[in-house]
Amino acid sequence: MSLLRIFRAVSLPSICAVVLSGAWSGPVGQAFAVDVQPIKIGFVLPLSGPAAGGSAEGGQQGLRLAVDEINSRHLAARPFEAIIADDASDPRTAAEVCKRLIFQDKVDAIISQGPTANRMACNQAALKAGIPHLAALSGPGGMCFANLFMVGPETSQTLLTLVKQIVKDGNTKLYYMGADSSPIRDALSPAMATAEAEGGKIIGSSFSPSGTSDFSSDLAKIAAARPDAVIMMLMGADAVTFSRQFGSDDRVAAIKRADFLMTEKVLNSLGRSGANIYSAASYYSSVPGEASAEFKTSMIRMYGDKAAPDVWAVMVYNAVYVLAKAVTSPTSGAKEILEALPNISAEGPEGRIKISGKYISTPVFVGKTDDAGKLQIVATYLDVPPAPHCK
Amino acid sequence: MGLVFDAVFSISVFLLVSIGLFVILGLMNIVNLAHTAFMAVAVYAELYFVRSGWNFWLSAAAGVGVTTLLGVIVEFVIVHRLYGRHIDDTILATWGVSLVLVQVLAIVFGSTTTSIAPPLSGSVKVLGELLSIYRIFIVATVATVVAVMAAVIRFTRAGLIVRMVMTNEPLARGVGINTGMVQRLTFVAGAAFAGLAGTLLGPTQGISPSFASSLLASTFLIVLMSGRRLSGLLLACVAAGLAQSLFSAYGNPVIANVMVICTAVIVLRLKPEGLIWLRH
Repeated sequence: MSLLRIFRAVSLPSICAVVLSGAWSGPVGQAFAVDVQPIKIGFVLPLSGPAAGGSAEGGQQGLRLAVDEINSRHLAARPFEAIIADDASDPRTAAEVCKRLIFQDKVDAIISQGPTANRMACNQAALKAGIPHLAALSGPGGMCFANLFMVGPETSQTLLTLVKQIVKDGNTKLYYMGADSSPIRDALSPAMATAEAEGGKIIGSSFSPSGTSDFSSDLAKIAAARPDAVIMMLMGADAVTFSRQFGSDDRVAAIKRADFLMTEKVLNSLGRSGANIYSAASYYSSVPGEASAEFKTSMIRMYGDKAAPDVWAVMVYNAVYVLAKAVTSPTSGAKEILEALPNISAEGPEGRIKISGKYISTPVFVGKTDDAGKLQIVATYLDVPPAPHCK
Repeated sequence: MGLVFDAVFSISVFLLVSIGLFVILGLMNIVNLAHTAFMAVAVYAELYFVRSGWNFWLSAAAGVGVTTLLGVIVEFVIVHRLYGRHIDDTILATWGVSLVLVQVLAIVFGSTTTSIAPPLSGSVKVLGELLSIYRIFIVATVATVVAVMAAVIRFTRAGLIVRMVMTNEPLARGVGINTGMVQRLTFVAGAAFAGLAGTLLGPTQGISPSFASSLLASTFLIVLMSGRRLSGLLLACVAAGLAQSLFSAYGNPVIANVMVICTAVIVLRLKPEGLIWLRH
């Protein structure tokens, strides 16, 4: 009896928390006037669990905005309807959620914004059912499936552009500080090659496990190596922990930093600990141009103070627009979308993106934080191609 | 010198995080898996007050206060039902509490990683090595807390009661000590220590709802190594801190994490009762 009471005490708030976090939301959009069946998009992302993070808000906003614009302006041959689903940061849940979207909700396409393991788990069902799957995030390359397209830069596009820029700015001796994961370790070789091609050199490297709370030994190694700049390849809270400890350690005060895994919002939140950090991404809210301004205005009009016009929002927004371009007739379905996708290009808030193989060529912006920690764009590289991963 | 200070800092962090777990396990036989969630609540409370314009130190004190209050509530609603129950029940219940707290933090504050600026910036040169002032402050605070705790346990009547309850709880009850109240206060003190750890480590870490969760496993092993004695806890933290910093410096942090676990396994294999030899 008491066990039951404890179970109630513990489980009821958990259930409430999961429900409140929006684990399964209802359909979005579908304001099309013509009498055609809508294209259903399943949007899968971690809204709960350890991978739930900064992408959730922007991603959902980008989705809703794109669906709203496409339906109200009749930009596709069929209206769009989106279903948002939580993969709970868990590959098994991601697989179940995607099965449900495909076989129960009968979606025509999936957009995902979760970790690699979740994406792969989700894609099993999508691949089997012949459903196009657009991954709206940046990440490592080399995932080649007939139905999977990555609508965000792959690691080499941003990392190598960043390395190129920092060496060009006179930082020839570099140190590579990464998370202990295979994609980050794999990215070291191309980074070394790029640094050397530009006249620089990576003189040392360290890899830390996820959840490291004290980077003293790494900072001591960096101080001893005396590089001009450190390339930071740490993820999530580790990147912030490292930046905080780096920023308050005078042994490394003269060394610059370069990071492309921290988002603009996180970089800006570091304040003076985040001063003089180079960063690279396919979108920053300070990207100039009419398309970027219009995107931000629309986001603010739709979400007011809560608008998050960030890189996550842009990647999902682009993914929906790419799908819209692939829906060319009222009879277009999953098969037709898959056939059309390899030849699609679109104008996004950041500029032109074009599907190239299973990835996209995209603009890459290099930013640098000023003394107060505020990010400013210092260089723009247009049409950066992905590495030739999928033949 | 840099390596010595890194080792001292590592030992201090282990002490700071494990002391609350140690108090609760030692006196109550409860494994509080919600410990790092309590730390997360403290650091988010601190963040909230800092963002509301409060001074850092006031915000840190408020963070400790919020966690202490949370400790009172959790003890009243859940933990007091577990007294005398098998340790597995306490693991399950406190794990559930941690899941709820982490989700609530994610809902209220979002899951984006954020941070707090350290209140003390700059470094001082000690024997030719630059040492961060805030890290020195953390080491000094931990040393003070441990010294005060040792003095309270050794020299005060409250310490005597605590030792008696730890040694023989039924006997302590028999001589008229309100052991229920002692246990209640112990849990609240453990929550307050978690609050102190969270608010002090906040400015050195990225803050997310799963704040400090990576420290839970190693600090739990440290508490097991301690043999439920403060001197044992100190020794266990020294062993784990040295393993962590030396293997990080001369190997890499991945090996260092493995070595902390190996140290615990070796210690518990050779001395299953924990590091309590100083007592005999």
